[in-house]
Amino acid sequence: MHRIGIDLGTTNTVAAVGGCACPLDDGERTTLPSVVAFLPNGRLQVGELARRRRAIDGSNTLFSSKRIIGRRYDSHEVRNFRDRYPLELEEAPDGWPAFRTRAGLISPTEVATHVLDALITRTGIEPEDTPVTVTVPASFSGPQRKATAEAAARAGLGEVSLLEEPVATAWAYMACGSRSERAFVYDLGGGTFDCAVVDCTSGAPRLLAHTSDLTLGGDDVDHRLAGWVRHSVLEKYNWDLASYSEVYDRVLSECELAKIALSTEERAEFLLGQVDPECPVPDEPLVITRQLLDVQCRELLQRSFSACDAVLRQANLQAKDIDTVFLAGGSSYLAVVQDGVESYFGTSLAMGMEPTEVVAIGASLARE
Amino acid sequence: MDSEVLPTRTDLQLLTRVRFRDATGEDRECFGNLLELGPRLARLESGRTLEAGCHIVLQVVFPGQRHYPRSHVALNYIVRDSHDEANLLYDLETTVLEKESHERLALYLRRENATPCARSEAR
Repeated sequence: MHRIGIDLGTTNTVAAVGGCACPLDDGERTTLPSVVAFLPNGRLQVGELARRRRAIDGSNTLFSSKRIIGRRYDSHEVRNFRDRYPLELEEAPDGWPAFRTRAGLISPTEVATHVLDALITRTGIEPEDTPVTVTVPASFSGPQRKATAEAAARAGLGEVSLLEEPVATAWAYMACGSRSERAFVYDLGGGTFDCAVVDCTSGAPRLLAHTSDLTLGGDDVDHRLAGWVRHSVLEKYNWDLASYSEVYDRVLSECELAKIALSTEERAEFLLGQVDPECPVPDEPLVITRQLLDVQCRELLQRSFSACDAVLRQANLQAKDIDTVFLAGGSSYLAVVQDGVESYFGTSLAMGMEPTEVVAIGASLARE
Repeated sequence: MDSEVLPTRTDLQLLTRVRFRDATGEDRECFGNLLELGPRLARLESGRTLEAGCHIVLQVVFPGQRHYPRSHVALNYIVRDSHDEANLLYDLETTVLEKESHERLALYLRRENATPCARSEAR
């Protein structure tokens, strides 16, 4: 019997059945942005349309909430989130964080529920007849796993099994013919970084060592670029793009699009007036080059390699002992990431799988 | 403006400030995305709900027009109808266009690549 695999990601969510990613109803994409917007007319939007509303209705458009799912309001992670994201977070009576929106207080678990709901509708998957596996970062704590399972249950997925993302990635690469014995999973997603040494010698991948940095991902690259944009504009025009959270969120959003464009282009640009119509030089184009992106990524990459060092130590291995590196996560599209990983391990990367789909595909192929 | 020769730009995402008067007579403001723009008609994704018949002023910045002393262009429209009420998408029709706004809108519509930023490549 086929299994449904779901990668409930910080930035995008993907479903797969029997080793194939499920296209959405637009027929073009397989990735549903994990963004939920609450409109003034009471309606809810999820996905691409919601993502577009970030620019015009920031405080009612929720994103990246996986970063704090299953975390208490007084935790370090939630404090960090409040400092970095232009969303209004409050402490709910039960001590959990909730977003203040025009639809009332919305918990991160509810955001995940809405995303899963939309995914089921838009891919046409039928979870009532099929077993479902939802993936989680390997280092997700008990409460984080519980909150994820709760979101899945509320979305009508019934009884789901949870699977660690690196294991799912290994399942996918093994199914696509990788003959690796000792593989390393390098999964740089939108909001979390997972890395693991996986033994692939038996029929099922087995985690030998792993770690996650739940505060490292593509979002951080966007923040770095946005910080650079803010600093440049402040220095040149004495104008602070971070004075209004809504404006800064638009800067973040434009930086994310520029980053995506730079995975294939040498430069990307946007007009300052597109993020702040009040800016004194709204028709000034802001250019972001691939070289600048590489510089901004360097320290983040270094952080990821420190985590790789730790995992290899745990497994009593060295980089040269790894025969293949399995890449996953949207940020793996970036050339600077691929080059950095290749040079860190001194081995070629397993290619041929879409980094944004591989986790869901693996989850759909995993056997109990 | 000769509407015969000016194209309608689609697949845009042009941030605009929207000024309007609501049903209670109160002056309101929100942000919107211009998704389509032509010589007479436009399609707007609005941050707030708009009523059919409502007069609105859009303040936009067109790329490639740095030679004008003012960066912003004010465009006057009437909300003709909702294109998709559930998603707050509205069809607009121009009312009064002053000479400079007229000229700058035409310039923008004639530009070969009207997309102002990295978005076209990103999709």
